[in-house]
Amino acid sequence: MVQVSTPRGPGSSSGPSAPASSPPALRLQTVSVRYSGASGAELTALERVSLDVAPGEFLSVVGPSGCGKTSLLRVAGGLLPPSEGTVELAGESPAEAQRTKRLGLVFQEPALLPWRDVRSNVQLPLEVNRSANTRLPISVEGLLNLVGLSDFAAYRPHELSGGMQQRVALARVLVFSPQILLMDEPFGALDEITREQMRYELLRVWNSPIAGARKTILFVTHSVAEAVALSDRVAIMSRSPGRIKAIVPIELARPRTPEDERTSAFLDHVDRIRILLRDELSPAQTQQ
Amino acid sequence: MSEQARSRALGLPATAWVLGRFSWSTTGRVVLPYLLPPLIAAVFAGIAWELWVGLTDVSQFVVPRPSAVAETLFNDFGFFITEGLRTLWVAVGGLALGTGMALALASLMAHSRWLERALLPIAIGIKVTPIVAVAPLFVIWFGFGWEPKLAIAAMITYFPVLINAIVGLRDVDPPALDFLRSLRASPLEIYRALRVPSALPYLFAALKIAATLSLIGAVVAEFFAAGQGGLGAVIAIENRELRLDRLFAAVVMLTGIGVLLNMMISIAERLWLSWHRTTLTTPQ
Repeated sequence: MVQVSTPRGPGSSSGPSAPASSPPALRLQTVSVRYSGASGAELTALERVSLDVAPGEFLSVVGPSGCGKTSLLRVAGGLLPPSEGTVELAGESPAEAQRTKRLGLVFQEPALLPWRDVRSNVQLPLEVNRSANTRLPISVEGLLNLVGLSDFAAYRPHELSGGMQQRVALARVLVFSPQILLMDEPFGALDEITREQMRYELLRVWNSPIAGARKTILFVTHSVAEAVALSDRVAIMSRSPGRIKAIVPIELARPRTPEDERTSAFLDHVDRIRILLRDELSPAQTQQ
Repeated sequence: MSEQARSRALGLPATAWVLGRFSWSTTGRVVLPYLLPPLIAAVFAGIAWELWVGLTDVSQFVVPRPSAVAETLFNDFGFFITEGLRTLWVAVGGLALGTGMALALASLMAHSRWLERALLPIAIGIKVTPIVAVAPLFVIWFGFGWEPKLAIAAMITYFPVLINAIVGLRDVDPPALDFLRSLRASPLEIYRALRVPSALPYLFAALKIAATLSLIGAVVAEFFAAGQGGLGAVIAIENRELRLDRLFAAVVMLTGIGVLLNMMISIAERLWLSWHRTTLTTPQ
């Protein structure tokens, strides 16, 4: 695979086989997040979470709903300050990573601007914080082509299906060449068929050299199969207070295809994670 | 498909005309179903009114016949158009001034709860003060020219725009805001790219209310600065002279101006909000 490097800071062009000296793309050290509820009671969303994500790695976080997955992602993206602990992206603070446009967020909702057409939505990141714009490894047209939307550049978001809207959201974060993508259940609102299709679309785009150096991805999901299909490693979170209970490496060869999901190796991984997750369900949920 | 959706959103043939895509067949299909029923109803109401005044002995100093009003309007059309244009300019000028001030204030208040707490009570205080009570003051302060009229029309229009703009500028899609913040977009960039477009549906709703109010403001202002003409002055004078056909003619002109103002705002709304769900979900 040809890797095109972008003229960016240290660690940007290193793949999964990075030398041990380069800092991790994302490092959480004993991060805790506490919210004070309306009644004054304190709610702990994350409890002393430590996690390293290597440059170019695809790491998924799975866990029962309400376990703090989204808080973890928001802390990593600098949208939520941790109550304790430190967050570093390639050795720098999330605020610094935001300032230099090195992190890209994708949410469950596409969060597109309805008054802009597809092309203009994709260009939006280039219109703000312009001083941090770097020379693009790819044109907007090339990017639309990469996500399969070149015929829809002049369409408004409401004219597209949910899956197409998420492709726009994906192109919108690739346009400013971030080093790390933080994805919060990006396919959660899609139907099962589109969802499975989007997994392999994401892997294809992730592996494509034309979008620049392979990006680090932190991917939050509640679908175990999705996590196994996509990831190098899967972190399993425990129920509240959110902790990382185990990290399961996914020993499946790349590139991966939809057919892999029927192999016994794939199903073994899914089973292992399901068993780890089952202990985290409440008694009422287990009885079902 | 995009083109289709756009033309679906632009139902009004007036809008099509603005876009240079006017066609008589569209007019036949779209305008007539909307225009004919109210026209027929108005004609019937006019005939009933005419018969009522003709068959009973209602004095023409109390209620003039519609035909007499139409005759007056027709014979003195130049006069009524001139005075109507004066009133229209006061209303439009006041609306522009009031909207401009409201937008500037709302832009500051939408960014700071503290500013909102400080300024909103003053804005409400000005709003609840009856405009008729302070109108004579404005004439004393600003003289008998266009200045007091514009000030009065602006004062009556700013409030709905202010309230709606504050809410509209704050009602942004939270993930879209998160996304822009994750790029370190400046507050000004967020304002331009996200807040202003998000506020447009609110602003157009407010403008429809404010347009009607601006006409009230213009007429009230002309009552008090009667020397400067305008339909408000015409009404004040003809009321004193008991020439009710002329008074009614002025009222008909005012109705026409009000309808015109509302139509202009509706057209602008359809052009600018073709993306918004209120446009997309409105059946033709």
